[in-house]
Amino acid sequence: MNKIPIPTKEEKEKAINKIISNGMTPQENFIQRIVNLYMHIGTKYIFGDILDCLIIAITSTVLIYFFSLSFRIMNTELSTTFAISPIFYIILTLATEWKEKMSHLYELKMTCKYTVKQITAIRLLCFSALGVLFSSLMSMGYSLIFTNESLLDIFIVSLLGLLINSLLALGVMLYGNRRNSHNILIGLWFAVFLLPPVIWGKGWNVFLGELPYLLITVLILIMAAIYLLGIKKLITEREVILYANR
Amino acid sequence: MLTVNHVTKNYGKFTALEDITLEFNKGVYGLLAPNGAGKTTLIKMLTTLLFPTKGDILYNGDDIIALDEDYRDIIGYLPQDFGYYKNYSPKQFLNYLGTLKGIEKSVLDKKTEALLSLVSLSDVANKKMRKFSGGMIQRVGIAQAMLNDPEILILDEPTAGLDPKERVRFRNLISSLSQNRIVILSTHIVSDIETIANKVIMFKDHQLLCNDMPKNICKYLEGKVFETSEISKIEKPHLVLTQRQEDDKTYTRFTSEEKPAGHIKEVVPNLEDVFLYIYKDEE
Repeated sequence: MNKIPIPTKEEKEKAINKIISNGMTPQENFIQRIVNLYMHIGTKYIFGDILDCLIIAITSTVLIYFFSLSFRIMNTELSTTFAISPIFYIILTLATEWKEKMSHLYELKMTCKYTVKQITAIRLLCFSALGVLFSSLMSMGYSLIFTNESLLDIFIVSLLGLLINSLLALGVMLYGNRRNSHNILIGLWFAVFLLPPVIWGKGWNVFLGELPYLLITVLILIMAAIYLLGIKKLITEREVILYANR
Repeated sequence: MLTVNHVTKNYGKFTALEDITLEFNKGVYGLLAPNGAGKTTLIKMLTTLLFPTKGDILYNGDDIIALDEDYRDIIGYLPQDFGYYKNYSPKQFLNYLGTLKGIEKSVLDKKTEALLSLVSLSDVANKKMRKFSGGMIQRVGIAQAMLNDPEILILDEPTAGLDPKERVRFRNLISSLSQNRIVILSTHIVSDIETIANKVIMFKDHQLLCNDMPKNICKYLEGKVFETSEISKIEKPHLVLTQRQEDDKTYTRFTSEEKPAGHIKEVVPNLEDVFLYIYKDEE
């Protein structure tokens, strides 16, 4: 009679661990998730149907930059940079959201494996990158014209403005009322970016100019980290529509 | 098996559905109720667009909200107001939604072709949908819902706005798709489900009224539905259901607890009779 050798406790544990490691699908981390989503959906379907929104955002931003340059108020370069830096991001986000709503495909897309919210999150990341690019270009342009401010000052204030706005927009998407998100976003831009120079005038410009680089850098890093966490939440959190046809 | 387990849905103080318990196995289920009865709310909970206020919905024992992406991967959904990109052709549109459904590109092209053929849209596969009729758009809608070969197919008022010919065509299509899957069809049009639904689910006062085969539901009015061309002569309390014209006479179908005297013919009750009787107090 054949004798079956009885495995030792170590052998059993080793075998169990092997079965578990082979049988369990490893969890994707955030970066892998973003990359896999992007790779699967592809540039064509992430940006293809919002090409018109991109064109509108680029055109409007360029026009607003020219307008702000033509009618600049002396000695408020930093206030102007701070206020205008999120324009591209705001227009692109609003136009994309508006287009999604108009298509009446929102509900259907929310029942797909990759939801519209996940695509929105990828788009927001890309919009932020494009926003940084625009801010950099704007900073260079401004520093050539406004010779009394350094390129670094203008760039860092522009980046700060963009990040504050990106965080606000993300907050509205995550916690706000979807039906009023457009109004809330525009309202916040007025309150955070336009009201301070109206209330404090040149004092606001001086304040922005006197912010220590270290503080701004730390603020930017913290906000960038919170922004990425928000994007992660947007991708992983289940969303519920706020109304139904009763 | 899909199980709705003591589900209640509130919108603030308004209760749209109260303590609903249902089981869905393979076959066609018709959600039949007037507008505003809570059909769409249930459909939206089954598609995870809404979450129940109380209770849970389980698929093979697992909560559909926890299943998340895995659950969405096995459902096909045609919403009531089916949106589409007018500048897309059906082929482009199906490719787009197929990508969002996570279907591999190598499979998607063949799947799109097969489905467009199934819904008889192969000849317009590359035409822009701008000029499509309502029926053609609905067929694109059903094709997109079938892209991932869903185990659960959920259709919310799929025949609304279709002409009679398209409606019959659509019913036949749904019937052919109902093999080996759960099909949940919401409608307030009785004829949509009378012939194709294995079970009919009805709600009344936001609660479950019945979940049974159409023939069993019709038994509810057995011996209580009659027809006459002289309705004005009926003295017993009755409820007029429908009327039809034949040989220059108007025949009235009505329900009454007892058979009235006179030229009255007892008829076999149908689902429409039951629907009209149950929802007689509703607009």
